[in-house]
Amino acid sequence: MKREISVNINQTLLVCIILFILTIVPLGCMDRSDELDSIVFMAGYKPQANLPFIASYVAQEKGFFTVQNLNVEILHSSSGENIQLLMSGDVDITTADATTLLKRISEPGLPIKAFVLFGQDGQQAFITMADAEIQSPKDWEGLTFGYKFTVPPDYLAILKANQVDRSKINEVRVGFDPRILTEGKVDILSVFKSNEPDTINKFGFKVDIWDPSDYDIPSLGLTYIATEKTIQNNPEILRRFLKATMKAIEFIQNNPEEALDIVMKYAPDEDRDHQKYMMMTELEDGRSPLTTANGFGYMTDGQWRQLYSQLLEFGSLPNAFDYRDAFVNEFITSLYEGNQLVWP
Amino acid sequence: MRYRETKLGQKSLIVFYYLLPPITALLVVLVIWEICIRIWNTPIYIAPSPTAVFNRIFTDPIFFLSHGSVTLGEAMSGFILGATTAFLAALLMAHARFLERLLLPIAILIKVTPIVAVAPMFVIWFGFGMLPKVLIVGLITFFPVLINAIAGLKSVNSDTLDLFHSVNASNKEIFLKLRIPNALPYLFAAFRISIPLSVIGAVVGEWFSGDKGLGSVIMIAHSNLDMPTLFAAIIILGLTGIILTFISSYFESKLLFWSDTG
Amino acid sequence: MSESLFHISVNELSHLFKTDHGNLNAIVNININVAHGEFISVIGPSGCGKTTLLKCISGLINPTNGYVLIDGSEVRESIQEKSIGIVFQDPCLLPWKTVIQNVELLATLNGQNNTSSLAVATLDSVGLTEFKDYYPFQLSGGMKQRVSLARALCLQPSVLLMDEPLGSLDELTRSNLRHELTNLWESTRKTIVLVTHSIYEAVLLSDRIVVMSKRPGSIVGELDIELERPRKGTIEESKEFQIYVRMIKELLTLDSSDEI
Repeated sequence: MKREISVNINQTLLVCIILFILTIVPLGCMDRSDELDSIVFMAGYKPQANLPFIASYVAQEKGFFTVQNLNVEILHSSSGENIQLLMSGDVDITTADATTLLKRISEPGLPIKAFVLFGQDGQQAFITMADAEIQSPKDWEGLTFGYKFTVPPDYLAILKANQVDRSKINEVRVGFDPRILTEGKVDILSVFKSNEPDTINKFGFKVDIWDPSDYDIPSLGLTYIATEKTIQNNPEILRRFLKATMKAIEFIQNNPEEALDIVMKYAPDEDRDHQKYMMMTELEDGRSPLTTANGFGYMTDGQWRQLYSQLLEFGSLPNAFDYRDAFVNEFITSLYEGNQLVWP
Repeated sequence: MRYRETKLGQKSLIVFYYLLPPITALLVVLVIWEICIRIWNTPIYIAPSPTAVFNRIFTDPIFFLSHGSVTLGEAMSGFILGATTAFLAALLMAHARFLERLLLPIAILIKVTPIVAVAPMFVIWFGFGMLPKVLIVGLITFFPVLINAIAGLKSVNSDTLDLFHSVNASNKEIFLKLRIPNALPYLFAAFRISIPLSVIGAVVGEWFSGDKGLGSVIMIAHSNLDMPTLFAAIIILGLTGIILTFISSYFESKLLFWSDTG
Repeated sequence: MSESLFHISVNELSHLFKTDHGNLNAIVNININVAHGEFISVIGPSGCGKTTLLKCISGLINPTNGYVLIDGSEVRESIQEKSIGIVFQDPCLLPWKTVIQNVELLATLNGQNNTSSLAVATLDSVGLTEFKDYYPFQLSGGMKQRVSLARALCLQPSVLLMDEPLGSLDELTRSNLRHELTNLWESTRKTIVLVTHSIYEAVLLSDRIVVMSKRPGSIVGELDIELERPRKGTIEESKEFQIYVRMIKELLTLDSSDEI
């Protein structure tokens, strides 16, 4: 009897070990790290049709990331934690607008850089109700201006460019609700060109848009950013990510409706018309003579220098720094021959 | 606060009995926090160390005092508004069952509406100043006080009520001499809930407009990744809540010495 | 005997409670007459409706059948004029008022004058003068019940109704308070109706005991207690006392249908 039992125990043990190996090994093999590199991309806001977001959605859905041997996890942030997560290493690439990027490098001194420019013209703008018939920024004197967090430097630049007396404007911090303008609580509202004007139009109101670039005020839009560490240690991955997303931009330009379908997949609860407006506005602001010549995403030393100088002048940068630390050109320039993207 | 009889019977020992334990616990937490930040080398824009936070507070105490007093003012005004309205509503509802059936569902509706949904509209309706914040605090503090006040007004001992009826006391006399004093412990129990809520309500209200008050400070500091200021504001808010609760407890012990809760 | 000679006259009193579980007959056809200055006890098993009866007599409950007269007029009609002193098992003192304020309270609500001096006097009659500025939470159960008694006396009632006033007190306090009650009756000769579940207490204190059946409560029997007044503590050892106690016990074990 005893021998039978001990043989049974040995057999059972053997079966268990075999089963264990059979389950663990495939799990290990499922990680195809020898084939694809995994990175985490976080879009800096909720899912919607901002151009850098769409580029990642399209690259994912159309397999451009796979072609570049990348396994990309796309995340979204809700309350601005994307930059903190970038710093902690939980996220490899995220989005940021150029002004915020420069501010963060200035204070608290984050070691981050932009490696592509989506907005040759920034989205920061100001709107007034069309029926208020405000003719020029000079007319802003005596009115109320609403801003989101802090007084935007572009606003200060417009005031300066038009010799407007700032002390005569009532500046208030307001929330994100554009009804604050339509209900007449403010006369001028700080907005994103690609967003609120369309929303307000849908309420049935017409607005006048005051674009800083109309006053030759330097303004840049969204970028992809990464830490200096990633740029130093993993430049190839960044390059491949950028290539896939620039291919996606090409696709978006040629197939806007299909691109929009993909956006709606990621943002099913959003209004399609509004997403289309956002996409088309940012596409247009992503193009300039520079990109026509050099390809989408191109950025120059001069662009960053001008933006930096302006922010410094209007007190948005607590600490001065070398503006060249804010961006790295080599990835975007290496992708194009002339203005044609080299693919794959 | 009751006196604690010590062997020596000295009043000064109360301070040690009540204050020393929480202060010690707090100091231990701060020391552990500081050590962790240093060991892990956490950057200041992810989580600040206690020294960074206190440095921020003490290099510019006026900043925090002035913003703190704005938030405090909103919290207290809103609390007084909410508690008074709730008490009056409770008097009405305890007086007439029909009114209770009519108004209680509305009160519940107010309670379950999330403030963050309502706050932007308050800014539109009531502007950018203190008013929308005071109203938000009023809304938040209303329900706990209402429910407790109704319970307190109704929960009188039935034998005591019989005694009042036996001398044909009027409804008004019953309310003034029996129901309302009976309700006081219930009210103060609700205050213990509503007072911290009032501070939170003022802060949430400040997120949506304006640049005064610790809530606005938190919003702006967050957008600037200025963690020391953000944490400092939170700590000041915590202190404010604690101080307010102490003040309320003091009044409670003075007014309600006769009850189990005083 | 015509009804107008009695202090309290309970006539064909019945009361029905409407509850969620159906109608509850609390008391049925109660007839009791109490003479001026008489001390009667009402005794019966739990739930027999003793409290309901007492509340009907005090006018707190409007009975579904029958009526109660006090000094010849209906209680419910003249509730204001008939000062009826009530003492419950729960002292029901207002915890936020001092002892003297509690004593004064009902009399003031009743619209009486000079209530403060009266309160001092009644508090003194229950022996608690030195505690007049204390608060109820500082008193023992027995002391609180004495304050409750003083409060009832402050109304200068002609009738004193008591519903198991000593029920929640310990044995020693109960014993002391019983003696105080009997002394009080001796000195004031008020008409007292005492509801109790202690046979011993009923025999010790009363001139007459009314025995009720179990629910629905009706009168099983009445017994005159002809023990010598004033009732001293030693009386409980006497043979007559023991006989009365036994007789009450027998009445209590009878069914309500078997009336004496």
